[in-house]
Amino acid sequence: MVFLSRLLRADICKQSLLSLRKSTGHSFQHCKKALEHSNNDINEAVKWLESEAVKQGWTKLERAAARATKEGVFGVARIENVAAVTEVNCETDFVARNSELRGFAARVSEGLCGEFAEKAPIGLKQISWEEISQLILGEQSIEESRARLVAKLGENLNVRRSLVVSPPDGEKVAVSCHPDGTFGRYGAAIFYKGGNAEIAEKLCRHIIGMRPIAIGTEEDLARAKKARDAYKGQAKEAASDKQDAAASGTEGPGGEGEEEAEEEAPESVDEDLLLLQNYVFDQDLKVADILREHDMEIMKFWRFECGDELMESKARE
Amino acid sequence: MVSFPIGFSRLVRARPLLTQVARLQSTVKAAPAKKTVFQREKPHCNIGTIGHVDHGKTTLTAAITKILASRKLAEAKKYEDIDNAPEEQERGITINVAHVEYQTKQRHYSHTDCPGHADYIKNMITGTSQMDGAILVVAATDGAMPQTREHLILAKQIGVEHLVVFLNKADATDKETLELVEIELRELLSEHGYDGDKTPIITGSALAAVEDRDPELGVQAIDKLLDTVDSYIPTPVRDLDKPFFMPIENVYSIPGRGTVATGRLERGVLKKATECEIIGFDKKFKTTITGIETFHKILEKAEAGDQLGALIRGIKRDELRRGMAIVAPGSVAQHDHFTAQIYILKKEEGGKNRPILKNYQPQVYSKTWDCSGRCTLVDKEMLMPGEDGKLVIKLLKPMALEKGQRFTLRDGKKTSGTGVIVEINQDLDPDQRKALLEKTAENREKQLQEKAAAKANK
Repeated sequence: MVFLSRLLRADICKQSLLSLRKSTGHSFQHCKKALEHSNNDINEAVKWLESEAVKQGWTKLERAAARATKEGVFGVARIENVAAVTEVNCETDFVARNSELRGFAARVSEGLCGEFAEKAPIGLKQISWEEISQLILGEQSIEESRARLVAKLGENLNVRRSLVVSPPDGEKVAVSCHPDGTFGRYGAAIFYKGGNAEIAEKLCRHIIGMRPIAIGTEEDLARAKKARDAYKGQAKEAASDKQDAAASGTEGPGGEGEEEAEEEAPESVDEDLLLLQNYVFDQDLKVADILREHDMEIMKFWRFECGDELMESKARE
Repeated sequence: MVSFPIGFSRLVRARPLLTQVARLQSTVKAAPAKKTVFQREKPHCNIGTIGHVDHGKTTLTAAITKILASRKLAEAKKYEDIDNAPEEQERGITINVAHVEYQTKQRHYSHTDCPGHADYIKNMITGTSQMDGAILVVAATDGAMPQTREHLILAKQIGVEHLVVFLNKADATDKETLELVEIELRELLSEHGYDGDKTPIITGSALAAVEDRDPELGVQAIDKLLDTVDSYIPTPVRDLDKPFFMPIENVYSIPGRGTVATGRLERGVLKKATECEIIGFDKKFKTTITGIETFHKILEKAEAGDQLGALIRGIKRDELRRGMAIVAPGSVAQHDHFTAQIYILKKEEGGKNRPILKNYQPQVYSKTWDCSGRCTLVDKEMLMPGEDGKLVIKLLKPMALEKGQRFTLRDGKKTSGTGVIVEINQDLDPDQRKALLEKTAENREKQLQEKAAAKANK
């Protein structure tokens, strides 16, 4: 038997092995086995590989299951008014940057958007792994795709959570991730009225960066404005005084001393209010100004980080 | 004290006494027992391993130490000892990294292994051990993995120019497959900017070496790998052999003698009566060092690592200041525009809770100088704490700086990030400088206003 397989091995054509490896991306070892099974027929080998990959994935998953998946990435998708976010965890950040893993996260999210297009619950809903894993994407279930991916990447992978977000009537939804837009370690989702999708996505990224806790109200705005106006004159005076000092020694020990002497702005509640924060993409404006400019209103927001709990915007008393 | 009636070396701070002592010990070779003294006989080189988790990086490291230990060139490490990269604190930043030390007949090595991309980046930025070369470990059974691309991108990013590939687990596959894996790897290397045709690929089995079987794939392959690393990865230039460079820490005026600048000689050798340049803050003086002292003693020759005071001819105290540097003529220049790789500190690491935005105006600290700078993120809108990225920095004044130099960014009372210069850009022209100054003044005013308003609000 051993002798026979040796003979067969020698027959495997290098060219077909190389092309099989290129087209499928499976490990050399498996490609070779596939060709042995199919008697050098590439099409047959591909079929064998596809079915075998899932099995391979299962055994690999069993072996890797004990290993911690500390890294991860979000993949988001939005179809019309349903958005979905999927967090996939893996072992190293090399894999978290890999396009195959990211593609998988995005596909799961897209699949969820499609699945919930008609019957999306209002608000945010966490979908359990049991429910997701049986979802069929293309020709295979998500559970199967995961196993395949494990076989290919050789790392333990977990779908940590999937969220489906859908707004009530009259409102729209936007989601975005940092750093890569549809992928990243951070994500945010908002419900809004008016405006457009582009600015809404930018606001999501603002929320990721500035970590507001609540949205804030008109009263907060008025109060902040009043305080600013009242002290504007005074502040200007102080500023110009300091400006002279700054101009004479913009660097060096002088500059440093001044830098140290300056007090950090006190952590006020206002910094946690979305409307009162400086807009990330244009520091000269507040978020409230941007909303006014686009005739827009934010109803609710969520912020999430890989491996961290979800944060929902608080209603402010 | 013959030639210096009034000594100036008392100005030299006592801080680096330790390094001084260490240097003495290593030359005298008389250690006060217990700890063995590091013998500097061979050139030092930093290397690392990169590869997929299952491809045998750790086994390879274990195999290397085992074989070298049998020749008394290393301490044998077991797989378990190396496997869990411990958390280290470098400049306040947490890095998961395992360092292993060993030597070959030619060189002394520090071998770095990190679990993730972020750890290698942090390791590079904090400069604990800049990798001079790396071993890419690939299992012949699998071939390159999808994430091998990410490994190569990382290697390029952290400035590894020389890669050696170790094709592991060769005992579990056959010759034809090995050839194909090799072809594929060479293609992949070329695709990512390495010389795919010339990169050495060594075939072997780390496990066989550890288990003392198949000497051809085991011990001999590891030997071949080490020989290749010895010859293919060039020996880095020692600090001692570089042109001298000393950032000025303090400047004093000694009545009857002249101006003295103190600091630590970072590189090279400094002798009495050497011509030098003093640069920084857009100024440049050509002069001569007329005397060197350290700890009340006259030095004929100062070496890298020495804390010293240098007597400078013909320059007044007021003309010099902390932050300038004494350099070998023409070896280091002043620049005000560069690209850097930067890591943003997390809050737990002493950083801020907020991200760095596209336009950012911190104080830049490097060597002994600091200067206001304007930073622009490359390809990104913001960097969150814990993330790394590329940054273009413009300084308000040209400073002594060069590729590979480290710096930190601070604003307010906190350190926000730390980075390394990866490229020097074209210096700013007068118009750009003017615009930069105006913009800076404007921003400062706005910040102050806002702070005042915030205070008032409270």
